Amino acid sequence: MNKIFTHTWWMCLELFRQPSYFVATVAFPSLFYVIFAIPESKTIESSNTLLASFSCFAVFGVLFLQFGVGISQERSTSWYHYLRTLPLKTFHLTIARFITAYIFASLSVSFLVILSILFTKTELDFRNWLLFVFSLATLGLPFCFMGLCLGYFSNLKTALPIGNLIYLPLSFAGGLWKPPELLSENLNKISLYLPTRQYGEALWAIALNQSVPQRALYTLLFYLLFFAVVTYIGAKRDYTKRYQ
Amino acid sequence: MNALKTNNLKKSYGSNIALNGITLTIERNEKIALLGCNGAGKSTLLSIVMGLKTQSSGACEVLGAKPNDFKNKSKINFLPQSLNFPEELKVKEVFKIVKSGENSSETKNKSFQSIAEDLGISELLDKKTSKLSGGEKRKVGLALSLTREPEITILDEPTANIDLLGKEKIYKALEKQIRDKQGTLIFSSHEMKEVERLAKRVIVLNKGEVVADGSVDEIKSMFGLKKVTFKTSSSTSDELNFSAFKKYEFHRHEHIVYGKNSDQILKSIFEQNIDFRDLKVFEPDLEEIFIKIWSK
Repeated sequence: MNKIFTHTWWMCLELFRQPSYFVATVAFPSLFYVIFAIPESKTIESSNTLLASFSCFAVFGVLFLQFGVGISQERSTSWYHYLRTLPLKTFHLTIARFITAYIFASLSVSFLVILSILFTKTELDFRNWLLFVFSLATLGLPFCFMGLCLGYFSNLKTALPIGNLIYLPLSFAGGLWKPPELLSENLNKISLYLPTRQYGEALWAIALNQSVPQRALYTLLFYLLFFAVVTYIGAKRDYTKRYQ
Repeated sequence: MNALKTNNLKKSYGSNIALNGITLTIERNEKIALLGCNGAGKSTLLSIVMGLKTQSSGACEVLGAKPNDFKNKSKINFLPQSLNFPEELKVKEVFKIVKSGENSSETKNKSFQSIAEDLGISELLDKKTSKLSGGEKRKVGLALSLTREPEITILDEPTANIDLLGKEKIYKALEKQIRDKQGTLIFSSHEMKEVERLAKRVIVLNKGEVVADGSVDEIKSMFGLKKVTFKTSSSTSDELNFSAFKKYEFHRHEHIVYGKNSDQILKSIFEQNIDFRDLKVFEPDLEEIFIKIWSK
């Protein structure tokens, strides 16, 4: 536990001391929220829905893009190989990375929540706030594994462009920027199979005090397992390439 | 139990053979220098020992277990040839990370201040690692190695990129370590001074094979020639006979005789009643020996 704590501590410290990372991670979703969501948050319903959409966008951004790019960069460093020679298990480092990603995702969402409370009509009871935060974290797990896949299947140069090529279209097509009903008919049909759309569906339901659609849970579970398997293959491939 | 044991260890990258059947036994507490020119296989061998690479064939045991055995990780310490740290962290924070891996609380709590002082890096502790020069990073890496107290310390070119004063501090710190603590030290190097000061045994690699293995003196007597020089007033060497020795050179008034045994050369000089001056005896030069071995 102490090892996980120490590694989470330095990973966070490293990122907090990089203003470009910190500001981009925390401010980017907030900036989008201020520009696109706050003007549209005219009712309790629209305020809650838009908060859910942008929270999903923020969590997706940190857990997939920042996390994945970070792993890809880290894999190319001599420090990463040095850590392998210390009395540490891969498990310790992976859990520390997960916790670090969640800490930044929480920060990013916290700013959105503050903005929504201050400037919109967002209204959730205590139970729903708890459920909202819990669901954001747990249902966001497939994106963590998606980030690991990005980290293992890309390199230092390609991680960011590939990540952006996936992150931005998936956010848009998943209805996280504008509601799915405003997407074209064909895109809306495809959208139903995307993890971002089902993540959104689950969080929209919680924000509107409705029951979470089972389809969303099953789809996210499928993606969780799928990306976990791909991560395993990627990690094995990376290990073989690097150490065999 | 040996510190390290390899048997017919081979490693190839495609058609490129890095190690070609290395068989070695290193006992506990030995101080070993691993020598070889670039590409001789030193770093590959150390990487296999550390579990960072897997051998193509053959066996490798470290402290009686496989190289990447987790139980052994706290007993083995490694300084790789190149080590960069997370750029936003301070040196003292990096120390904390490395020490967090220690299981024993006694070792964990041991201050790295004294090691930092020995290596002259105390003033670097509050500095961000991104602000360190190449040599300073090397010293910090070495300090990390020395603050841990493992059974085996493996250093891959510990003084690479370090200035003369820094090297001297490192030698002293390593000598202190050797003097005060038990433990096996294996280091690769291109610095003969380092080898002579720190190693009790030298293993020479060439093209992935062990070409010499022994103490510094044994290597010198195996491969090196002692040199005796003296001067005479005569400008010729016609009356002198050193044909019994390996090599004889004459330049103006100076005579140079090479042989395995300097006593026999001296005896020959006296027996020939040579009227000499400026007699000097030179030990074989390690650097020359290794150049000779590697150029074969």
